Amino acid sequence: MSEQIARILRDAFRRYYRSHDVPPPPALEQREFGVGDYGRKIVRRHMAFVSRREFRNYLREEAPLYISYSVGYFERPDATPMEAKGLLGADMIFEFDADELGLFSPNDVWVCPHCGAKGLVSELRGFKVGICPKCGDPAKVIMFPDPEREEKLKEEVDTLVKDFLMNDFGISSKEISINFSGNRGYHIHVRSPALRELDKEARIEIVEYVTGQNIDVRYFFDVSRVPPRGPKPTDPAWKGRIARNIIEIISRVSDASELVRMGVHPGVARRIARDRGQIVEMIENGVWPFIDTKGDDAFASLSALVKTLSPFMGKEIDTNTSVDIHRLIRVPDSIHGSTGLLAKSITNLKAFDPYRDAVALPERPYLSLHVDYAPEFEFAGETWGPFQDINVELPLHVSIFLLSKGVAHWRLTTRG
Amino acid sequence: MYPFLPSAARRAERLGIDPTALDDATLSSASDRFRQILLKHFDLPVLDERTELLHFILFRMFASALGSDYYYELLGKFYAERARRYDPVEFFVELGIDPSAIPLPEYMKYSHIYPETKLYYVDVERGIVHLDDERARLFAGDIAYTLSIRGLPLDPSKIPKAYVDYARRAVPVRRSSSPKTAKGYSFIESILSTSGIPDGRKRIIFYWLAPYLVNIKGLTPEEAVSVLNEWLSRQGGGKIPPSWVKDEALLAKRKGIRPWGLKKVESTDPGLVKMLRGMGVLE
Repeated sequence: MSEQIARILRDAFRRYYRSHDVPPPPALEQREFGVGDYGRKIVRRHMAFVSRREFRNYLREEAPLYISYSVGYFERPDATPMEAKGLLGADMIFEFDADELGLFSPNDVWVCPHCGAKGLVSELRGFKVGICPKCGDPAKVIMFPDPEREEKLKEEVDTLVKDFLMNDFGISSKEISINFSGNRGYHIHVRSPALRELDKEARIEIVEYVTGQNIDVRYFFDVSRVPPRGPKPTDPAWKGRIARNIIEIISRVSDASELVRMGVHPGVARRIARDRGQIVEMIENGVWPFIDTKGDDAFASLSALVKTLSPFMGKEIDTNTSVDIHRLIRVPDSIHGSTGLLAKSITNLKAFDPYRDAVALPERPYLSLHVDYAPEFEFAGETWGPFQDINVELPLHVSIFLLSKGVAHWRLTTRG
Repeated sequence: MYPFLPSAARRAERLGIDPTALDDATLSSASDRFRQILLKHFDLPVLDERTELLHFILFRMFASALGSDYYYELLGKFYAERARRYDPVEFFVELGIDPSAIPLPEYMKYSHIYPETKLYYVDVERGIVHLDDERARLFAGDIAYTLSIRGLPLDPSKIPKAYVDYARRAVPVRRSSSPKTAKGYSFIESILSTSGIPDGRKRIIFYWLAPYLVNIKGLTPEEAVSVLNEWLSRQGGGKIPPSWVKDEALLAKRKGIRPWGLKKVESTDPGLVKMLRGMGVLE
C-alpha cells in the first residue's frame, strides 16, 4: 500500500516541480544534498549539484518525496566520509517546533498507543497533555491546524529574529530567511558570513544565549552597594531584557500570591506587591531594593521570575539543529513528503497561514480513506471533519495530511 | 610577556631560538617549571623574554608528549591566569582588538573558560560585544587559554624523542592521602577480633572489612569471604546472605576500594562509630 501511495505522491510532486521553479539554496555547488522516499526522510545523501539547471532537472525527473541540503559549505560536497568533504563553514539554523514548545491546542487529538484510547485535548479536563487519562501511559498528541497556535509560533519566530538576531547580534534582515518547516514549525536560516565560520562550541553558546539556559542572575547585580544595583530597562541585551520583563510582571500581577506561584519567596512577594509603584520606579533607575544581600532567597526569587518571563526560557528551540554543522535541512520551497505541505520561504510572516499558503498538492486524485478520528479543522481554505470511524473520499492534499497524522488509512481505491 | 601571541613566534625566530637542540640543563629547568604548572602553581615568576618563549614552545611539546586533555587544560589555564593578572592593554593591542567594542564573531572565536565571559553576561548590541575592565581582563584569559593550547597535540615527529622523558619526569606522582600499608588500620584489626557486635555488621563490612582484607592485606576475594563469614558467625543479629558478602569482596577487588578513614565514617555514620566506641572496640 505504501508503494502505491508513494507512486501517487511522486506523480503529484513531479507535476508540481514541472510547473514550479524551486530556487536552489545559495552556494548550490558547495552544498551536500540528501533525498528520501516514502516513510524515510533520507535514503541517499552525499549528492551534489553543479548548476541550477541540474538541480531543477533532478527535481523534475526524480521528484523525491523529501529533499534536504547541508547547512554546511564544503569544498567537495559529494565526497565521503564527512571529513573528506572539506568543511568551509556553515549556516546557522534555528528550529521551532510546536510540540517541542509545548504549544498544544484544544483541537489536538491524543491517542494512547498502549490502551488505544483517544480523544480531544480539550476533553482532558485537568489531565496533563501527553499522558493517557485512562491508563496513565505516555500518549501521542496529534496536532491539527489551530490559528491561535500559529500566531504564538510566529510570535516566537518574530522575537528571535528581531530581538536576538537583528538587535543583539547585528545580523541584517537580508542574511536571515524564515521558512515554514512543512510540518509543525519554522526554520530560521542565518546565512551571515559573521557566523559562518563559528565552531560547534561557539554555536552552543549562541543557542544558550538565545534560550537563556543556565543563566545566573547574580552576575547582573552589584550587591556591594546598598540598596543593590542591577540592570536598567534601557540596558542592552539580557540585562535590559531582564529589567523590562520584571517590571512588566511586577506591574501586571494582581497580588503577592501570583508572584509566589512563580517561585518568588513569600516575604519578597509581599514586599513587591505592597511597594509596587516605588519598586518599578527604582528598577527603572537600576536600583533593586528587594534583593536581600544577606541571603540567597531574593536571587532565587529573581531566577524564578526570569525563568517564567523570558520569551524563550524554559521553551525549547531545537539545540541540535542549531549546533550541528553537518545537518541536512529541508530545501526551502520543496514539498515535505510527510504532509504534502511546502517548506515555504516566507516574506510576510504576519500574513502567512501554513495550511492555506503552503498547500502544494492538488485536489485530484481523490483518495478513499477510513478516518479513525479527526476534529473539525481548516485546510486549504475549506473546513473538514469532524470524522470518527468513517469511510470518506477526500482530495489528495487533505488525504495526505490525514495519512501523515496517522489518523486515517487508505482503502485502495482512487477516483481521478 | 605573552609567548602565545602570534607575534611571539616571529620574535622567537628573530632571537634564533631552536627548541629541538637544547642542553640537559635547559631541558631540566623547563621540565621543573612544567611540573609546577601541572601542580597548578600558576603564580610562577615571569622570566626573561627568551626563556619565556623557549619554555612556551617546550611546554607545548611536553604536553603533547603526555597526550592528555587534562595537561593541555592545565597549560591553557596557566597562561590564562597570567594574562588575566597582568595589564591586558599590550595584549589587546597586539591582537588588534578594542576590548570595549569587539565584533561578535571575533568574540565567539575564543572558547570561554571564565563563566563571567559567557555571552549573556556581557553587553551585546548590534553585533558588538562591550566589555568593562574587569571582563576585559577575563576575556584576555579566555584568549590566552585558546591560543596557548590551539593545535595541540603537536605532530609526534616534531618532538625529539629525548624530550618525552623530560615530559614524563615533570608529571607529579600522586600520593594517596590514605596509608598504603596496614599501618593506621589497627582499629580494623581490633574490629576483626571482636565478637558480639549486635548491629551495623553490613556497614562495617562495607566501610572497612572487605576493602581492608582484599586491598590492604592482599587476600583473594575467596579468602576474604571465608574470613568475613567466620567473623559474622561470631556476631549477633540475623543472617546476612552469603551472596552479599561475596559481592562486597568482589567489588572491593574490582574497584580497588580502600577502607574508609575513621573520621570519614564518623562524619557520615556517627551512630556506628559511637556504638563501637561504647563497646570499647574503638578508642
